[in-house]
Amino acid sequence: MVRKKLVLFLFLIPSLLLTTTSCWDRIEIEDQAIIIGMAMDLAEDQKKIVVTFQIAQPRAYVAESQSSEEGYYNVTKTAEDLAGARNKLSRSTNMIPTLEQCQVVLVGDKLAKKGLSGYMDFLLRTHEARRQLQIGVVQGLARHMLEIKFKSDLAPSFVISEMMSRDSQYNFRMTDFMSLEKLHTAFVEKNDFILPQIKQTENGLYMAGGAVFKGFELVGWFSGEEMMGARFMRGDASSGYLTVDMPSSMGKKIMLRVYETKSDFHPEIRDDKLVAVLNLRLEGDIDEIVHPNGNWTGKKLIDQCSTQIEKYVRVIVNDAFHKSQRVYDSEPFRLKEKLKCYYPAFWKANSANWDEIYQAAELKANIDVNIRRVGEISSP
Amino acid sequence: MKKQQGLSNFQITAVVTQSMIGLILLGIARRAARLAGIDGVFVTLLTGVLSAAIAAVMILLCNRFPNLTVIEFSQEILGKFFGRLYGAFFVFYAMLVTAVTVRGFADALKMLLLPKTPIEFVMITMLILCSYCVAGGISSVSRINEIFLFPVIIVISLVILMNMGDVDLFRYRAVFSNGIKPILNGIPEMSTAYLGYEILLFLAPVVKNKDKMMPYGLSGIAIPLVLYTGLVFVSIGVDGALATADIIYPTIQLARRISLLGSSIEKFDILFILLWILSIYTTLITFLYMASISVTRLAGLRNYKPFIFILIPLIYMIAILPEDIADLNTVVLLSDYIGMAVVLSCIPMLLISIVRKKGGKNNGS
Repeated sequence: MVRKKLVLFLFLIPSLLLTTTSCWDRIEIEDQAIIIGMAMDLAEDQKKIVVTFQIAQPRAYVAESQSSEEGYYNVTKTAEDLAGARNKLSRSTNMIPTLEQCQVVLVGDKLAKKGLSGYMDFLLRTHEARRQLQIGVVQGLARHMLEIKFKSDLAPSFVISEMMSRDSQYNFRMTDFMSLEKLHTAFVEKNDFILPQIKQTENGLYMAGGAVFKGFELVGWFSGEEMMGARFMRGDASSGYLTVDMPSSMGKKIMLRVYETKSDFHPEIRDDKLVAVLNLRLEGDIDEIVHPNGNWTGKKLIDQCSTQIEKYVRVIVNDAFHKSQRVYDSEPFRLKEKLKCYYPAFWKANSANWDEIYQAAELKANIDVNIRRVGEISSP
Repeated sequence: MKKQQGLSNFQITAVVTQSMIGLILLGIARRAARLAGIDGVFVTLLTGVLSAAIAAVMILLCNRFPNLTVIEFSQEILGKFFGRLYGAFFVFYAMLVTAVTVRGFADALKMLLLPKTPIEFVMITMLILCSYCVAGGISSVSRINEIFLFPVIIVISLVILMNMGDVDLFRYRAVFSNGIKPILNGIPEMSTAYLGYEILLFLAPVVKNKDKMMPYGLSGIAIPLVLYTGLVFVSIGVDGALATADIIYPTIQLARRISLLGSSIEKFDILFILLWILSIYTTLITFLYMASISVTRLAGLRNYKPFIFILIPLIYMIAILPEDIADLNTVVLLSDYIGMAVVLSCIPMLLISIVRKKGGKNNGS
């Protein structure tokens, strides 16, 4: 009996060990090349791309670590596409590259002008890349962004990603709207879009404005103000600051801290013509008045100020719409997507003529600015 | 006083729900979007309601033979020869579903979680684990279903609710823009997504309160109906119908979008996959139970346990046959068609049993 139990026991132990299937796929963290960011530029040989991988050094992030090494390093590879560059990376290191922690993909403007459609397949197809992956366009070489040394010692990929996702919640001039997921939708539905614009400065980087795409090719840029207008139309703006010039009777400039933005941008068909209707409501407090005149707690001045801000918002919205429509022939405000849904019969009948319909479209903006408070002082 | 034996009311619901939620959970939105575009939500909803109606017919049929499984009462209704033929058909169907489920599960797991683990090993270990549970009888099967029901519902609900805020409601302005045709055309294929409630045909002899089969059995269908419709609504609302139809596992993508406490907790998909494995497990044990009990009753025997271990190698052989995803899809299609034939067969069977006065008050079976 005891012997029988022993035989059973000896049989069971190796059998149970076999059930620990995940051991097959065990990869130690030290064995992984954890890619936290990527930069893609057009190579000199225009058929190829230069991909810079920013790879995290997990050792440097351990609190007890006495190591003075940086938390990341960059590796650059030239290949025909992203998958090829990744394969080259894996052939040049003893570690296994993984995109699971990749925060951001930066694209150089030359490559963006050539078109992104040929380079997105790998990112969309691999299960490693997160669908919330941020994508930005750099004026100049994208890889230079990953070489910037920030005072916080944070890896550039983290800084850029956080700027995109966090700061865009408080700044109208930046956007994080187009993640990899949204690019996929744009890819299959053939929509135009805007990606964040990044520029290198002497001390670091500057992120404002947008790169306007048509058919997955970069066709032009939006300034910071135009980006604000575009975001009001697209409906992804939440809070931020507006600085507006004022008539001298009121002061020089005023800064409004907008804490709530409600935007309803939709198409209307009037006499077989597309009209883009924007109902925008901004609510906020005055943050700063440069050289104020008059009593700012009075209703009259607040109303006059609201009117000035309304005028300003109307101008930037119109500028963004008309520049995109007339100069770039791109529609990144989701008007096409909405037209398909609001007027499916009209879309079915006229989808082949979309470009002409869009070119003839008018913008009707109804802007409502509500100033609630004037700060903690009232005196001029 | 002796306690009444058998499945509780809640266990009926749990068994039905858990046998329905399985492989399709990952791709339900893709199927809906592919079949009907933006109207996919309505295809899912309407098909769920129709499946509940078929399940109601099934329960009515079972209530006429409260102490028999489908394998036995089909012989009473259809006669010995056709009844046995029907039974053999059922055995084949249950084996096929078990095989395609375990294969689909292994393929998905290899792609999502365990790229280096051989699928053969994943399949064999899963089948052994299932056979262990099924050998414990319907009480083990129902208890496992009961235990896993709430975690599975909670995780799927979280996936739906946490993505609800990102749904672009304007997309749904285009519903019914193509008329009712895409919805009607989508129903046949979508109805295969709800398969699994055939287990009701085996539950009648083992439930405690036989008169409660109808409400609790239908509740079991209502849960996947709500969850599937929610998943399709959110997926199409977030990504659009075209993109959803393009994604192989839209539910996984929805789970991946979730980040809790700012971005402190990401990779929610791992938790989702974990619970999805439990769903697969419960589906497998239910179908393995169906297959083994069917073949036993067909042979006129009572002890089904030896048959579990006879069926496992056969199921494995069917599962390993498809060479690639295209082959597997063909086998899945075959099992779906057979499944539809099985569930729809309840309607003529009920009619024949009424006409031939089999079962019910006329027969004390």
